Amino acid sequence: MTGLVAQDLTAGYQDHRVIDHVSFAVEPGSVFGLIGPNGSGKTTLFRCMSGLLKPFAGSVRLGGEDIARIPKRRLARLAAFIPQIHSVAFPYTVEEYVLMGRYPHRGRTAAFTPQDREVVEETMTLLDIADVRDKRIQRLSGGEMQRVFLAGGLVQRPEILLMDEPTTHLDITHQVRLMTMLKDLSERSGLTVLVTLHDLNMAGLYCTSLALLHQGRIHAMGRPEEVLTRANIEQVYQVRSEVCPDPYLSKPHVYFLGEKD
Amino acid sequence: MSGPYPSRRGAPPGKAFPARSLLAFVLAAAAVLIAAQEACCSGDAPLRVVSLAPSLTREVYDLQAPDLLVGATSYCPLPRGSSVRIVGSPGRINIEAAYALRPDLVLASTDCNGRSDVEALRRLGCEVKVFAGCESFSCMCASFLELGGILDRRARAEAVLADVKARLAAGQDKLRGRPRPRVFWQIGATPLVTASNATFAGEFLARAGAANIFGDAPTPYPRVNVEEVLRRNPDVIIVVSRMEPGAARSPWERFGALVAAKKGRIVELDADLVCQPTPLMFLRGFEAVAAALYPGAP
Amino acid sequence: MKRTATILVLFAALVCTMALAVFLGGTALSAPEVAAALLHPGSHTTAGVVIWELRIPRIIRAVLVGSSLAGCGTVFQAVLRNPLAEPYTLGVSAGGALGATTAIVLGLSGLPMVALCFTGCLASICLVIAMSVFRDFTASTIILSGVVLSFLLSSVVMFIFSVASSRDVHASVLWLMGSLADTGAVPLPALGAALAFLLGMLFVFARDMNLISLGDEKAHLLGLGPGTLKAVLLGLASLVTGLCVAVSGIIGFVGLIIPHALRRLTGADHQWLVPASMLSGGIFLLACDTIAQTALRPYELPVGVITGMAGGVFFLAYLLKASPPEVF
Repeated sequence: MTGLVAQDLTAGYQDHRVIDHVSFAVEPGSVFGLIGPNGSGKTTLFRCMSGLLKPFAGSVRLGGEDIARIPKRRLARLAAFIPQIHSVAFPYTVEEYVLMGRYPHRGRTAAFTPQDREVVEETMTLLDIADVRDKRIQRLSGGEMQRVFLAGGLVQRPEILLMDEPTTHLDITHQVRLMTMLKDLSERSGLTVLVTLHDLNMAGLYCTSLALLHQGRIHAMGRPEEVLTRANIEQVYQVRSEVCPDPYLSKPHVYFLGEKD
Repeated sequence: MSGPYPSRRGAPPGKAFPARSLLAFVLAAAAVLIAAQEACCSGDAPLRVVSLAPSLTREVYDLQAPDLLVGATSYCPLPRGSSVRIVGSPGRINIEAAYALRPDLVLASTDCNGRSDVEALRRLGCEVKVFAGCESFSCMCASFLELGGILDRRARAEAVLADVKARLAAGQDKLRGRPRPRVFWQIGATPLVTASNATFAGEFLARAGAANIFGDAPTPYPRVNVEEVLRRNPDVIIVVSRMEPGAARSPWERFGALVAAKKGRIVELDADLVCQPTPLMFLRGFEAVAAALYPGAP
Repeated sequence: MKRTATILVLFAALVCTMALAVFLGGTALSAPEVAAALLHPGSHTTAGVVIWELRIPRIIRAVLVGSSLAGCGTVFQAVLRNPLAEPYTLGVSAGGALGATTAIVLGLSGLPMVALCFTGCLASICLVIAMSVFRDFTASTIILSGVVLSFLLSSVVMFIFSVASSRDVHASVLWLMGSLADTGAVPLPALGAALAFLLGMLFVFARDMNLISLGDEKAHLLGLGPGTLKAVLLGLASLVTGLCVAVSGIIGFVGLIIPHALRRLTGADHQWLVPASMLSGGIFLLACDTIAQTALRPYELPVGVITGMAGGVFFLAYLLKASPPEVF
């Protein structure tokens, strides 16, 4: 079980600073949600955490090691980054795509072992995409594609899963399914999950901890009920709201009342 | 042949074939074969010639050696029903076809043949004689004489040249003393190209006693501006083109100030007539230019 | 397995096409003559020389160039994430055209011309990579840089055409149309070595090509950052393309159609696509060259005309038949 830590991260593009002195820790085996409005630096922070963007200052540590120092192939066996669903240029089949997730374990030329095939099989069954294995990726629905992308990451058998806005483009059924699955995976197999979300109620329902970003800095961090407060939402999102625990699961539920006057 | 039996060479009918005669026969046959072989390689047998340039083909005919030609290009002037094989076009020779004719000699010109084709044939073992393109009459004569020597038609070459030179001199003599017209030699319309004195066209004009308004241009075939032509205002415009008759005049006729246009001295000459660099064609070209410049002259 | 079978069938087809091409060429030779020439390599008969000195080297050259162009095509399509990309997208052809035209105007031929042409190709590759690295080295930046450079270099070529003699222009235009005839400048073993190198590299990087074609995010699975990977693959493929251009002029469509068509047959996984494309590229170009030599015998059509027509027909059929496009 490995944790992910952001240490005093300052990052951006060219000369433009997007996030400033951000620090937080993702506990091993938890589901950590990054929330915040557009432009708050969520995506930039996320890309730093997954090693895709080099920060100007600060570091990201995986199990204590600076990820900039970890060789990329080994990093791929530890952490899996699931991109947002996007159009794929070529007609790979579902099975081909998922199998590519095993590359960090096999390298460039080694053939796939029966163990690889087993992992792929298991993952596809878990994510309910086994019966579309021969379908081309472009022919899938949004929900199927999201699950295929997720499978492509899970077969890496990572300890940490990073997902960027996984619930955008999904209908309610699939949103619920996906978030439930992430929660189950983290509870049962100790997978550490870092997700960015825009839906505050989803975040409150499924995440173990949250970090609310505002203008490149962390405005609030902690358990969902600590972060999702009327004051925080008003300051960051400029909307009036009420937050109460919902009557069924006692998770914080946000009621939106209107624009801030 | 008398008798029921076919007679055998060297043997009286009815007698056994003497061994000595057989030996003589065999030796004679061997001698004939060896001689034939030698003849093939020593050049006594007719040369097989492939020409890769239209001007060189024309010269082969001028030298009255058409039987030597076994291959030519699609642009070469060949008589109807000729059995000469086509080996492609001058810019792109079909090497296989040219080689398959097993030529003893391949004629090429730097004017229209690519170096890679020449080298490809040489690599296969063919003898290729490359002639440099000629822009002057003296160069054409030298080339022609050289070709005549190679094809063993030197006497014929010298005769042709003597005749051409005589007729040329006669033609030039007739024009002596006439007023010198100022001429613009036009090749093509867009872009407008002319010829300097360092070309065979320039030489036509010089020998005909005309003044080439762009004679001293730095390059042989410079591109010129319409405005410059108008400024130099030639007396005669000779257009060498493949356009339909009359098409070349109209662009000039709208310039009222142009002397040539006013006097109707815009002449069209057939491009084929004046663009082949052989001595005979030079003569014909000269005569055509002279006729164009001095219409009605005896 | 279906894909192994496809590769084997393609290999067999290549061998058959090569065998057939020996019998067809710029001059008509009867089958017995050809057979005799094949069986007696040392003989100096006409057929023997034609077969061994002209046809067989040309067949090998066609297969090498065709395979290389198709292989490079797969690389370009993968890196640029675009099934309509091809080896000339980055302006390699414009650079080569400039080099060749300059050489012709300067009166060079043979090895100096090939060298100048290859230099042109190399220069354009470096310029494109430099221009796009300066920005952000994404697929769209690279493509845009390539297009810009192509236009710039083409206008320089047009300028040269406007001031050169008509003989030089004619020679340049003929060169631009592409030809697999031997110029004696680049020996077949050199070309073969380049192809072997490419094949080796593509075999090693096939999985990387799968990953890079999905996006920058997946590239690091095998240890190379996306930037490095793109530069290596593009550089390699561009060098081989440049060599093909220097040897045989600009032969279009092979690098575009073959990977595009084969993807439907073998799927998009580059571990199968690359060998299948290379085999098919060899077959395709050899067939086109044979048609170019025999269709209007004794006139030899430029091979680029045949590949162009085939390309046009292919895309027409594709547009008319394919269900709502998988081309985006």
